[in-house]
Amino acid sequence: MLLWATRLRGGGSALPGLVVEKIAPSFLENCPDHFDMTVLVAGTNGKTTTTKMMRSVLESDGRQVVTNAAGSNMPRGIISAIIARMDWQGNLQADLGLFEIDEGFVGHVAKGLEPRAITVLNLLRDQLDRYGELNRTAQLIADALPHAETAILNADDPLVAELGENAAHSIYFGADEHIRSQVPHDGALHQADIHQADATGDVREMESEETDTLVRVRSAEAGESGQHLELDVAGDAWSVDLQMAGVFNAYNAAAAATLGYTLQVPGETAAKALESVAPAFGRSERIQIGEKQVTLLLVKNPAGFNQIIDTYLSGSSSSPGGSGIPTLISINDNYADGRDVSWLWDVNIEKLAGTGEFITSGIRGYDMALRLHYAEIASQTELEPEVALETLLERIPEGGEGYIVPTYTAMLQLRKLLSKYASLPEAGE
Amino acid sequence: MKLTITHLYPAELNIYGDWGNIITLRKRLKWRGDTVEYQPIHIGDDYDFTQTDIVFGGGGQDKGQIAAADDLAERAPNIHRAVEEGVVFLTVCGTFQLFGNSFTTATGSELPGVGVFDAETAGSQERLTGNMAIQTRWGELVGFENHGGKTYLSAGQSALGRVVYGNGNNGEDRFEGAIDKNVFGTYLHGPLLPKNPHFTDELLKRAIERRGGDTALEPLDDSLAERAVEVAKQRPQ
Repeated sequence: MLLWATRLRGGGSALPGLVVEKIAPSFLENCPDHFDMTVLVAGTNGKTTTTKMMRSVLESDGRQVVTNAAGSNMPRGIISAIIARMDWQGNLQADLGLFEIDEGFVGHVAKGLEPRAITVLNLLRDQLDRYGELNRTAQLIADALPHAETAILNADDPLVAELGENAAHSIYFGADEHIRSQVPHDGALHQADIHQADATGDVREMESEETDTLVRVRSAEAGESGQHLELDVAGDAWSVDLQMAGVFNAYNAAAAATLGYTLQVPGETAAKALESVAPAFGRSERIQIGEKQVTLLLVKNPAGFNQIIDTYLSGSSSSPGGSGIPTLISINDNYADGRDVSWLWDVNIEKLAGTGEFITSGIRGYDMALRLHYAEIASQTELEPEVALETLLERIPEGGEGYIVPTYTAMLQLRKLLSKYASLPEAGE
Repeated sequence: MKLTITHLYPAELNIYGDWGNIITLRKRLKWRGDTVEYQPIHIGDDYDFTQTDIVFGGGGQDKGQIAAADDLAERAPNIHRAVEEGVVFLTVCGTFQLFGNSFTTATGSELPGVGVFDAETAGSQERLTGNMAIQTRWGELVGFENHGGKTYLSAGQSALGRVVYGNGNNGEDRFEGAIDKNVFGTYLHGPLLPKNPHFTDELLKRAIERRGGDTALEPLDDSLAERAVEVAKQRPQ
């Protein structure tokens, strides 16, 4: 039966996984026999990018890694990825399974796979229409951790650091204060009175406790199209020229370095491997269209959108862009995006005043326009993706650049449309 | 005119885009030339609610709601005085629940309520989530609901409106929210005020009237809100 299912396999599709899930529900539980070990990557933001970094680190050391395609992070996506690497006899052509996993399924998958490590990147409010509350999401991950040998945790996110209590063994990564302060965790994000700069309201400092970290980002300096990182990895200094900008990616790299160290990948090899990683599908992915450059900046929750604003859109010192760059914001509310678009009101949109020309699009393009309106920022709304993209490209001068800020399904739509203008790698590559 | 907007527990109750309601109240006053003072209230702060004009309280996670419940219970006499004096309150989701008589969580513990609304809320395992529209005497209101608690109004308690689509207070009796004097309770976030400017202006008029100001509000361009509502009404629940 399994062999028959393997014939259904195809690039990045969850269909074979769906079939196996139905006909052999214990498939995942039998998987540990096939791998030397598995590693799971959980958290609300950065799973796809971090998984890509970890894959590069492990492959640089000669490991045969099976990993799931970008965003296919439910059990069927993982099963599909495993089947795709089986030969005709059902033998697995790999020794290590590395999977990003949706918070809702991490317990189920961890129970089946008995992972060597579960990495938890962060816990930020995301898709609350699916899981109700952030504390509930934390609980789902807490329930999964006892199934893992080691938990690799973000020390600087209090909700994640707390999870250590649930794990047999925990290792932490983090960053020095000047970097940490640029990534508000959920408590601080909403506590600070971000929209009320002119108000007299007090802003309370969140007490952050120091946790002992194995890996620590010492410095992160913006470069032309990425950043230079100095990492302290268990006392060794690593220098990494990362191809991706943004403090959040510094944390993702620290998580990958922690895994590399834990699995005994030589430091120099791992650091080089991190440098070779290009941005993942739709995540600060640059696309060249003739003389014009477009950067796709996936957003899915307030924390991620705020990071994109600080890193790219606001024109602050660390951002390569700045004033006048045409920007298309495309907001869909399909299931994969989250049905509720309320989160747009928690984003620091006010920071965009005077930074660019905005086009809004997607199913909820008018909701985005309304959000901009209340930040006193004008925009042009073109609900149809084709028209919105054409409008953006017309506004980018020859030799200039533009930004596309889409939710997940809007990103898939726009990327498909962009492939008419430029040749793009397939999803998951 | 100068108005004060009081924000209940921005640290504990803030989970579903509640900032949008605060931003909308502030900007509509500012655009019409009024001055706005913003006053966040944290747990344990000294505060006299009769001094303010509009109070907003949003939704939170269970943890935040438990912390807020005890603090609110201590303030109940002062809040009742403010209600009698005509202060405008907009309570959404978690704060709406705490403005009833009591809230029994899904695990069976009972949180005290302020008792402004004659209503009881019981936590349930099933969450009521999705796009929602209700009919009120100020026209239709559109938004999104996401709550574990089910609220039941007593016979004498007026609802804010009737559910057009969605669940409302409990998914059973088609009632949504509650209203008493200038106090409004609802499960609509989405958030409520930016998408429903006619309702926002109703709140502002009541606050201005209490201060003896001119309630003939200058019209604003609300075409984007109208279009956003048109789309929202066509989306799956």
